[in-house]
Amino acid sequence: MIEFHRIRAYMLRHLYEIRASLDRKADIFFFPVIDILTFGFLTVYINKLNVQAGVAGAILGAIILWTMIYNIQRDMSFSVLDDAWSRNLYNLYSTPLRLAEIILGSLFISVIKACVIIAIILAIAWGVFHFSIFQVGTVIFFYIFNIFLFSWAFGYFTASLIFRFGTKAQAVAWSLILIIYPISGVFYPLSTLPPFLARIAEFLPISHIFEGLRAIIVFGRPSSPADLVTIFLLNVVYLCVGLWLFVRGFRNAKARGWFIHPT
Amino acid sequence: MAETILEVKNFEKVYSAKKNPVVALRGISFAVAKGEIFGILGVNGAGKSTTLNILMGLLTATSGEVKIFGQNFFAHESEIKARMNIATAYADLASNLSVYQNLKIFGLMYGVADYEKKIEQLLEQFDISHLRNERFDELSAGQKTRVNLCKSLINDPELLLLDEPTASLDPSIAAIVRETLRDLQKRRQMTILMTSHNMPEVEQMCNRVALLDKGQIYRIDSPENLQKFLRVPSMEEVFIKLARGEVEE
Repeated sequence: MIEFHRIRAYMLRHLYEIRASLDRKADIFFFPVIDILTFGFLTVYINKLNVQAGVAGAILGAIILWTMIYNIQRDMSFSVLDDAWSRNLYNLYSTPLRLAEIILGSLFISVIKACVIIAIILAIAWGVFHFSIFQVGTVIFFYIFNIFLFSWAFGYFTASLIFRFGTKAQAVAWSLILIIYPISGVFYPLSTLPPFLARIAEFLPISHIFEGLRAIIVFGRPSSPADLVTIFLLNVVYLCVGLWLFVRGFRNAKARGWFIHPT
Repeated sequence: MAETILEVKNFEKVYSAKKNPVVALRGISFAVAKGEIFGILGVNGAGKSTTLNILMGLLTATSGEVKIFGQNFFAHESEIKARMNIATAYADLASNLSVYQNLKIFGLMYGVADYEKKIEQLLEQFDISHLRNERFDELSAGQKTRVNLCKSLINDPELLLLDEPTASLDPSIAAIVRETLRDLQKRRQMTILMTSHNMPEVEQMCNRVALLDKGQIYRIDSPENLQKFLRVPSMEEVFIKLARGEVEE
């Protein structure tokens, strides 16, 4: 049976890590702020170029959502890496902690961290650049929810690679997501891409989110119900695959004894 | 007859079974009774730690059965692990966290009701109360070993696994640790399964010892009987004979 006290202990371990580690603080407070400021000033410049109204807002909205994706997926892997780096996996996994509790604990932690990051970048976007992502309407909550689903799925996938290949594959935690960065239509429409890349991008739920966000901000055109259903269904598939890979990776790591010698 | 707490049957572990298989355990079997201190001896690579790691659910056995507290370990892993614990010289706690934060996490993990009181009591017992707020990575090897022992006792385990429990401790602290463990074993009928390269420690603490050689159990008996059987004056000599392959098949 899943026990809340074990999920709480798992979460506490990672909350303490944020408090103790300068790196984890920088992940939350430094890098997202740098991103929003850089792109925010870029949009100030774009506005001066007399381009179509709303383009600058679409860029700011996109960087807010991309910052969420990047941070949430990375934190899923860090929840494994932090314990591997400090050789604590042995003690942690010799407790009654279940795999389902690890999954839930890492989900809850990612929500807490993401909420802090979102609050900071939304405050900067509003306070410095007078941009509110909520101008998009209530659909933004659907988009944010789906950003979480996709980021968890990708995070579990990268964590499964760490289970499978060890800390020598640790760079996937902060770099693998960048492979899909250019083809996700974060800052430009999918029609900008060569046709074969645009075709691949259609299978990414986040590319539909960024397209939808842009359509609302730039053209005032709301997402169709079919788009929303596509986003959600793709995310369900991605999340199921991500979790399946995570569980397989965990079992493989256990069979190899990686929790004992996490190299 | 005392209740059997741990029963291992035909344990086998083969690493990389498909390519270059390395056999770590070749069908070992043994049983440990409630309140017993059972030692596993063998040279490096004999399979001692592998056995303990499988019993803590950190490694999958290739084949074999384990019953702990009368239940199939692989089917009831979480419930069984809630009643056991381990201290090993080969693993650390979270390096950036303080001693107290680490122990609190494990207190919560095991659902210890009054974990704060338990932590204070354990820190005092192992004479490390002054390290309560120190970061784990700033401790000496001996201090880390004692914090690990505190972690291993936080849930008052009925079955305690110890992998080199006094490694890196100075002789006086090691003696205190041994006394504490023996006292707990007597007072609470705690069962202990341990590995050690410290033969006087094995002689002093263990009721029975399994001699493990190349993944197989050579013999299980009390330290006295093993010395008689091999016609040597000490466990040190037993170990040397085992290490040199001078024991009869």
